[in-house]
Amino acid sequence: MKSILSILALSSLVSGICLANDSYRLADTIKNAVGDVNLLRAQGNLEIAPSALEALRALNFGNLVLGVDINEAASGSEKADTQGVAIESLQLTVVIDGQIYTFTDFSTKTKSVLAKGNETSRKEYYTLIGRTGSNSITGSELHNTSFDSTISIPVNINLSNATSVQLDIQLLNTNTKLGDPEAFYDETAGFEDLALLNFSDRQFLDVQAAGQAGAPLVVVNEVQSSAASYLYYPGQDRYFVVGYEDQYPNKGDYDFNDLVVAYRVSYGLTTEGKVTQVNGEGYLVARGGSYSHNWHLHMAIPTSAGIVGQISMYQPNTSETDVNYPTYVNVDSGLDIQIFSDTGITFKDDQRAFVNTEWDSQFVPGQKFAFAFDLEYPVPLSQMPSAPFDPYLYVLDTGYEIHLPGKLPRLGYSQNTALGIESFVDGQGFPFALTAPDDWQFPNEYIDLGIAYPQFIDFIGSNKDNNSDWYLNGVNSATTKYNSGKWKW
Amino acid sequence: MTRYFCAISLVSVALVTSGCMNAADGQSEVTESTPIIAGPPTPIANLAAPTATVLSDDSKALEDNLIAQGTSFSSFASTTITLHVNDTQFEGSRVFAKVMDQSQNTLFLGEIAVNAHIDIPFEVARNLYPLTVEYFSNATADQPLFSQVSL
Repeated sequence: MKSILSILALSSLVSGICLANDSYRLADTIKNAVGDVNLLRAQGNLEIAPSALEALRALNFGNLVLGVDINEAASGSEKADTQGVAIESLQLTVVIDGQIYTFTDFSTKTKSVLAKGNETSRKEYYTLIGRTGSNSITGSELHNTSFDSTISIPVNINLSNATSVQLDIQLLNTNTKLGDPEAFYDETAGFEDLALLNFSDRQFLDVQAAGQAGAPLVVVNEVQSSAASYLYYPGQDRYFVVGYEDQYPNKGDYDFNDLVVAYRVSYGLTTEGKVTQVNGEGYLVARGGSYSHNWHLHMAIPTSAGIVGQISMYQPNTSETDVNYPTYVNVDSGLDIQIFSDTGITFKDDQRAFVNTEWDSQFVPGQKFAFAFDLEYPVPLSQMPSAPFDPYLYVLDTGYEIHLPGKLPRLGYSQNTALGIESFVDGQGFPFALTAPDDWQFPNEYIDLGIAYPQFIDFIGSNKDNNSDWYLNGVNSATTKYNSGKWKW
Repeated sequence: MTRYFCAISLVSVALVTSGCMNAADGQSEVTESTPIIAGPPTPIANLAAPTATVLSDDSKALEDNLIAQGTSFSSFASTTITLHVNDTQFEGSRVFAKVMDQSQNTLFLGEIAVNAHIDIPFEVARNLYPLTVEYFSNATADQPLFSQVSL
């Protein structure tokens, strides 16, 4: 908190100085990984006086600082809220009185270790990371733009009399066949917009660090504020899908679609393997029951970890958080978050009683959640809870909790607690909650899971030796037509 | 015998549940005049699950089968991989590791301390094993090292 306050104070102090030295959005951009950029020409074909360029250099302590708006394709591990490129080379060429000066040193706030082209060996490259619509700079020429990252170029000459200031930049063509991190830092769509920044705008973007939290293999150059590595459950681009039978403790119809939720969790780690961050996100996928539920995610993080962070909830197909979000969390241990509330109200199909579980229904997108927590005291991985954790329902109509088999009731006010009911399997031995990989397409309404997925019984009956891909072999007419590409908006 | 046992079991299940089931949609009806908790139902969850798995010969439906107590239903399997690179393996000053499943999905990615032994627990769909472990450094001269971990 102290450092944030000091940055704000510094920022406002400097912004007062910079009022006459505004940032400029440049006319040239980086296209197809190449930038041939005139730093004396602003958007709208307006000239930038060399004296203005010199003022920006002086205010940035002898550096020309560029802002970059990252515009990459949201595919693979790149998505709207985190995307990146790497810089292979950069050269600044200045002409003053017929003399040519070149500068090739530069830095950005982040690096990664990447393989180029068809190579397999890697080395460090400076990277630029951002997200769609990340910028909220106000009181500046950059107001309502979406600049993300900064490039700093040390320039040790006065630019007041420059007749030409030209920047040539080449983005790295990464070996995307290796997957991440190369796939993330590839250059695909472009073009990247550029701006010359004053000090306060530079500070804003550097502190904002847009998109860094979700980017792979971010090597931060200064104070190590982000994790050195990330561990993903069940995978960086994967989700656990959990389906419930909400008639508990009475047997249901085994369609495991009374509520369907997709979620995933990642741990940020130190280089020694201690957990410093816990992040997660997920979606409401379907509600095939008439009951209403609260959905919780319980993670038994050890006592005194010092969990501080926030939870955000997004309305379908928007990046705007719901009213009352983000909510802030500050607890010692035992993270147990009520994420989705009263699903009968918040997740409805206006035409039907059920949502997304009938074969002829139109798809209704569900809410999305995201959370990010820092652990004040890093916790060894051996003391962290195991995936898939404890995703559970509280059924508002019955007062019962429904957990995965082997888990215990959590809520003091639930019927489970009042009646001492702790088992979460039925009289035939089947569970009331089931997790599956996100390729699983849950059964349509009233369809028994075993009918929808004929290999499931053999999978279970063989002690899981046979048909481990049962969830990929559903009967088309018995399973939802909506795959993860539909609910993962 | 198997079918007879299943039939008895299903009858008893039906008797327990019929009092609160709506035949039309399989859901309990809750109206304003009905107490939300109408007293404790006979909790099937507390009935002992079968001690042995008895699979029907002619039905794949869960409804027609019995599964033994303590059976796991997870499609995921846990495994722990120890990440370790000693200081003689690479010239680079920083060492990184990546773990992927068979679908090329990243499970772990980042920097690890040289000479540290880090036990990483993974939870991966059973059909996505073996996992691939890759170590690499920040030195161009260092070629990545690969290994595989099976279930």
